[in-house]
Amino acid sequence: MKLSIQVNEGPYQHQATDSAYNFTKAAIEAGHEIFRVFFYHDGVNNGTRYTTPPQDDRNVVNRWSELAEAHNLDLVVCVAAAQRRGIVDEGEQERNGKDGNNIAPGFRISGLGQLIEAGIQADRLVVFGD
Amino acid sequence: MSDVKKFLYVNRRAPYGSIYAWESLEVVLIGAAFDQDVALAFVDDGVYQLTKGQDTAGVGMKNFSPTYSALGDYDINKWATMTSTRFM
Repeated sequence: MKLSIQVNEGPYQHQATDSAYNFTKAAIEAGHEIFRVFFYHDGVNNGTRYTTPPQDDRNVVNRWSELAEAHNLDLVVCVAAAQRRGIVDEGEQERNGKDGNNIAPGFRISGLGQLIEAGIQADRLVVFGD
Repeated sequence: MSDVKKFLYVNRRAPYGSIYAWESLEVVLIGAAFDQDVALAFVDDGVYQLTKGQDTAGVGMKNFSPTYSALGDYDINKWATMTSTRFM
């Protein structure tokens, strides 16, 4: 089955992102195709490489990056939600005159149209979060 | 994209207390621009998004409630659940 995933909550604050990760990984291992993972609301905070959790805890952000690298996943962060919350890539840095960027490897910033497309193209859009 | 799919957005949070209502509205409007079959359900505290005469001056946030009345122009259906509205 072709699946799209939507993540609506930030890392560590909420289990939704852990569940989304575990679900995505299990779906890939079961032979399903992941069309896209879309990060919305506080979910965009999954996409900052500045996250530094204690060493004895899971690294939620790196985990997504590694999964994307291994399976060529499309991890998309909503631009409007990202701008509000300070998630910046090189393009956004330039456009908005910021002094740096923090997007994690494997993530890209794009519009909400990518979420709608993910809903259209996939057999199921699975949403994680409250 | 010629496919038309049904999108149902479930709103369960009151406006302003969190950003869910406002960011939900943003994605709803984009979905409608893609000519999809879009509907909204208002459940639990989400029904408060539909109250008349919202005044946000005191909290310094944008009052986005007029947008809901405009959703009809995009062929968007809105539903509020009976059990939740009973407390309004």
